[in-house]
Amino acid sequence: MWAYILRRLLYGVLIMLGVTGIIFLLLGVFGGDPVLAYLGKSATEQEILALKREFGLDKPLFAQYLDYLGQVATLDFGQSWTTKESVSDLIRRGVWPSLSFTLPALLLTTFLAVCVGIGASFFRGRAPDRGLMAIAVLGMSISFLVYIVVFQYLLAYVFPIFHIHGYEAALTERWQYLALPIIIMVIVGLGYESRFYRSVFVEEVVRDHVTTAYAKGASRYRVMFIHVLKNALIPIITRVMISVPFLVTGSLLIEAFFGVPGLGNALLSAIETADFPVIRALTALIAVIFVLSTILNDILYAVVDPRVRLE
Amino acid sequence: MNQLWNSRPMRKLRRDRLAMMCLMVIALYALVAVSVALGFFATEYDARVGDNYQEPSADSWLYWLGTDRQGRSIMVRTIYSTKIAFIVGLVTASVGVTIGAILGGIAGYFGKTVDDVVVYLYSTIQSIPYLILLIALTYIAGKGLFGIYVAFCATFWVGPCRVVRGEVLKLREAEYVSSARAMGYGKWRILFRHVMPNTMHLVLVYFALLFVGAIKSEVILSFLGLGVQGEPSWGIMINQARAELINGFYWQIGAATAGMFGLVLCFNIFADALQDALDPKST
Amino acid sequence: MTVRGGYSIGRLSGRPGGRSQLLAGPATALVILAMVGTTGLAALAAGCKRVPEWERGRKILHYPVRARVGSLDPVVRSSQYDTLVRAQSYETLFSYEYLIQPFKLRPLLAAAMPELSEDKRTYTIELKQGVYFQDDPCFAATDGKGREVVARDVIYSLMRMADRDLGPGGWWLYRNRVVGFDAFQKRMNDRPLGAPFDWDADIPGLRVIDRYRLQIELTRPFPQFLYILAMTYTAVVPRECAQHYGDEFSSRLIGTGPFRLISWTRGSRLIYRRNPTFREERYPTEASPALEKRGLLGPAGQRVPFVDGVVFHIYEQEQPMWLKFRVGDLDIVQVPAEYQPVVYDDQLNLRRAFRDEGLGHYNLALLDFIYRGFNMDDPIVGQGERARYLRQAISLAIDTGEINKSFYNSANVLYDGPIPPGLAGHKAGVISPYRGPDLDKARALMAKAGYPDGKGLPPILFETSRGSNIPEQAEMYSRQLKQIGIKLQNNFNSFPELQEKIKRRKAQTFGLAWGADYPDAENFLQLFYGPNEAPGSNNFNYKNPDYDKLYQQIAVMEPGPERTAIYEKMRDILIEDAPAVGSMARTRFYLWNPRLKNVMPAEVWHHWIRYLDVDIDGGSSGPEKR
Repeated sequence: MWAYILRRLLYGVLIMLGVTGIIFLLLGVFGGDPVLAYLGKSATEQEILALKREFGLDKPLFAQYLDYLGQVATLDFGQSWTTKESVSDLIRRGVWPSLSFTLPALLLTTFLAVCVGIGASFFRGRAPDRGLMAIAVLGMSISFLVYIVVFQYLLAYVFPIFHIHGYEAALTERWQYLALPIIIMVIVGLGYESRFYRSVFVEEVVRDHVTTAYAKGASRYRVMFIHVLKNALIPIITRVMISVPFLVTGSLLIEAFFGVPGLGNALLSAIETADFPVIRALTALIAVIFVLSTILNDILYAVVDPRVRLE
Repeated sequence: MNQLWNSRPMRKLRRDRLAMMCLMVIALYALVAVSVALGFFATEYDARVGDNYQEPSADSWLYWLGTDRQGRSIMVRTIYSTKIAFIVGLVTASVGVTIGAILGGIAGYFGKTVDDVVVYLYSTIQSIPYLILLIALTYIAGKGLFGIYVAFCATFWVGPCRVVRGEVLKLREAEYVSSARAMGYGKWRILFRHVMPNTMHLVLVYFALLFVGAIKSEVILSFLGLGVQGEPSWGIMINQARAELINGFYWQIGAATAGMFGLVLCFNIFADALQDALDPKST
Repeated sequence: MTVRGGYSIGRLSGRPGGRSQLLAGPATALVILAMVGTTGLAALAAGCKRVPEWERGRKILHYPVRARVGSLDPVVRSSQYDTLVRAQSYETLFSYEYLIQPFKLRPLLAAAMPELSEDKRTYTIELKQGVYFQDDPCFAATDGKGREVVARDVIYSLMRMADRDLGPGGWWLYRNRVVGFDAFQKRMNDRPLGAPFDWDADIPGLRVIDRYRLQIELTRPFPQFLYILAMTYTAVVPRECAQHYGDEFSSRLIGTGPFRLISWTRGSRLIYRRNPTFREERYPTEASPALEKRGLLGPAGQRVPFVDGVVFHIYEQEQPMWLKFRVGDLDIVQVPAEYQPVVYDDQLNLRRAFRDEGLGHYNLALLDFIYRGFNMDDPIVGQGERARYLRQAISLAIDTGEINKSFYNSANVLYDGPIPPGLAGHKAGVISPYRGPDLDKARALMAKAGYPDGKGLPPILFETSRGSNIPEQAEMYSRQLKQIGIKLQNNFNSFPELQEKIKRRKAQTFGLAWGADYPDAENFLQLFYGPNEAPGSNNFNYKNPDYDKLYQQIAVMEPGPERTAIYEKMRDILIEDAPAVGSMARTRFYLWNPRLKNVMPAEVWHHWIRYLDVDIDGGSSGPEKR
């Protein structure tokens, strides 16, 4: 098992090399010359050179790439070009606001979707199933942006049930602001998720061991929770683990409209201002989380399902 | 094609009335898209036909959905956007699925180094935040439709590639493949003549998924200012109209959302039915 | 990356019936539970707004900011919003009179307007005495008590412009201006990486005379120089704090102003409280007649600031900002263009429903130059006679009125040439023979240029940004040009891309805007001065020896009718040559709730927040929706 994890970690390093390489190439070679934007209204060639030197853009490309790798290895990404604040601080500050609505949204979505999935799989092929799935598809067919704009207007202004916009550091108040964003994310995500879980449960409830359990006279609750849900745990875990890296980046649209000071917003403004250190740092961070979460996922597999062996 | 149409899954699909209705709606959208592309109507999507923000009226079909901030017919623009949606959907879905399926097939069938390379490639692409990759790609590919194609195709092939690879891994061990091998057929021939056709159900389903995904992602790209340029699209309309809602002028956002809703909904339902019908495990 | 074995994801069509019917109970129970959970969350969220303990019963101004705030260091390049939040704590030597129009400078940290030497090159400035920095632990010598501001602080603050590491913004404004500054800056730029910055260097043009007096010597007269000393870039900061905090300094405000920052949630809001050590400053007692009529002299002579605290709320999107204003959570707002038709009638007066609510409003004309520019290096649109006819034809084909009506509710001021209304050298009305739309004349010029009906003319590239409705405006622009046979190809860029294309002369034509750094037309005329060509501020790479000669002349002239005459001459040259066409200046619509008092918005300077008052006894806090 440890050998397996080690091997996977090494592979992760390989992936990181690929990720950093691609982003570096895209930004560094094709991303144009950000220096001019930073010099603003007026510049001279001499100042352009000076700023390039400060940003480390005067070095040969390969040396710049090595710098980047060094930053990834030491987790020190230097300063943002735009705001001059330390990139690590920027990330540390942005992670929690993002997580505080993406995580509840994911958990709630998963919980509801599992419920819907169980319900639909039970009635599979009949009216309630079709009805639930039709609602799921309806929800999926409208743009996220439209949901946000309409819900903010209707549910926070016309009918002032929720806060329009804002953020509080204190957890006791923060959730009041985040309730509407969470609900929107749940509605948007629910369609995809419940369709997925429906198929998982449909597959599970017709399995032989479930049939056997009934034959042995197990109660339906027992069958449901012990046999079906336990086996469905693997796809549920996988599904949740896949989402973990996206939790950290938050949601660009939600953060912009509801004023959550998270990483989604930080990322967008970094892209808009060509703030390369921030873009590079976030890319590396998310890639690392992605790699780690896939490894963790495989380990959890083995824990939940003894049939899976890590080799 | 005829053979496919009369095959058992297709007969099953044809019995599904809801799915058939959706297919008809999709065909209707396609018809509109083709007519627009051929210039039969909605060519004057950029022309001023009335005052700014005109309420809908029955005077002319141009006014059925009112006019936008520039006095352009929302009806015409909604219809014209169908073409853009189809172009974006078709191009990115077909290119994405083709690349994905071929790479997945090769990786699954040949295994070893080829497999390692393909798996490494998609694992890497997957590990890059979608948004960053998308925007960085438009840096190279430029903006507008071409940029959208490149950005979507470069990210969309991953899904079908994984799935096809998994399926081919299984099929490789199937009896009929071993017998084909025993008969001395070449590897490529076996792969493309015997193995890949059996992944068609996955390819078709992914095609539908990516088609829908492309149309929806276009809205986000438009929000970021990276969408279609010079022509209307549903994404652009939604973005131009998102501030009008509070003013009580909801025709534009409504029209674009409805246009998109119909197509995406039907595609989703049809894709579901297709998946059910094609799944070899169901009969 | 995949683990083999386990299970496979596939969908099965249902096989109805069978034993699983037994699952109906738990399944239904779960679905119901889920629904209850969701509604419960919704109900809980409906809890009412809680006002923080400290703010209760106190006067707090809630002010929206339409962009993320980056750095708080005044010297760092900034957006207008950065400047706004910095200026509440940091102060400059000079500022503007709140209630006098047009713009008039007044001393802020300076004790009086400066003495100017005979040769108009040396300014002697005396500081107010008894001005203290806000208390902060970085004042180690005084145990955290803010110390008095002295002349040396001013010199130090100006020197910071030369420190490339800080990312200074406005330094180009005094490039080639202060004696010895450029040489010093070059020396600092060229020093090896990691070498310390020489803060104790003597720059010949920046001299301390005594504790409260300093002298600034310019290389040649520059009548606009005092305006630069009113820009927040030149605000006075304490050296020991900047050095104590290092990079951290950019997230603090340690100035001399009426408010001190107590918390900053990046991307969300900044909270200020009244600075207890703020010097005695009073509300102005003089006002232009128009402003006096608005009742703005009510609190004349009273001590400022009036409010106990200010909260700047950051909004990335307009919808939430507008909704927050409408429920009374914000005191003031700049009405976004999209919402203007609801708020104002065709004559730009407040609509009745809003007047009845008692909202205050002011339409502020901005010193703006929105233009569509040409790269004069380009063979087709820039070089030679034919290109000039083409530019003039384009100018005639543009209908700025239509753009104004569709996107700005006709609130922009259309004008000709680069000098916006409100400045000497501007003339209202149509003064250009090339003001559009005049399609016949445009077509005639197209023929004269050798492109009858656009024949033989390749598509023209138009580079612009992708912000808000800019792409939509570009669509309209290209539709207008299509009428005379010009095919305009729009290209929407992020700001850095646009900037690079323009500064590297890769943009054939482009849409951009220039906001005034200071209220003098010289700031706009320098945009066309030959030696300022890209990457300088002359984006057009416009080179005209006659024009350049005139610019050199006005650059050292004092304001007066003589100078204005030359301004007009320069303006007319630009109208004829048309390196930039379709000039517009925006109007900003300020709207505020009845509880806010003494409002007279300005955007060239930002020290006026201190004059605002919030009426909390009046009861009503605007349109109460909750």
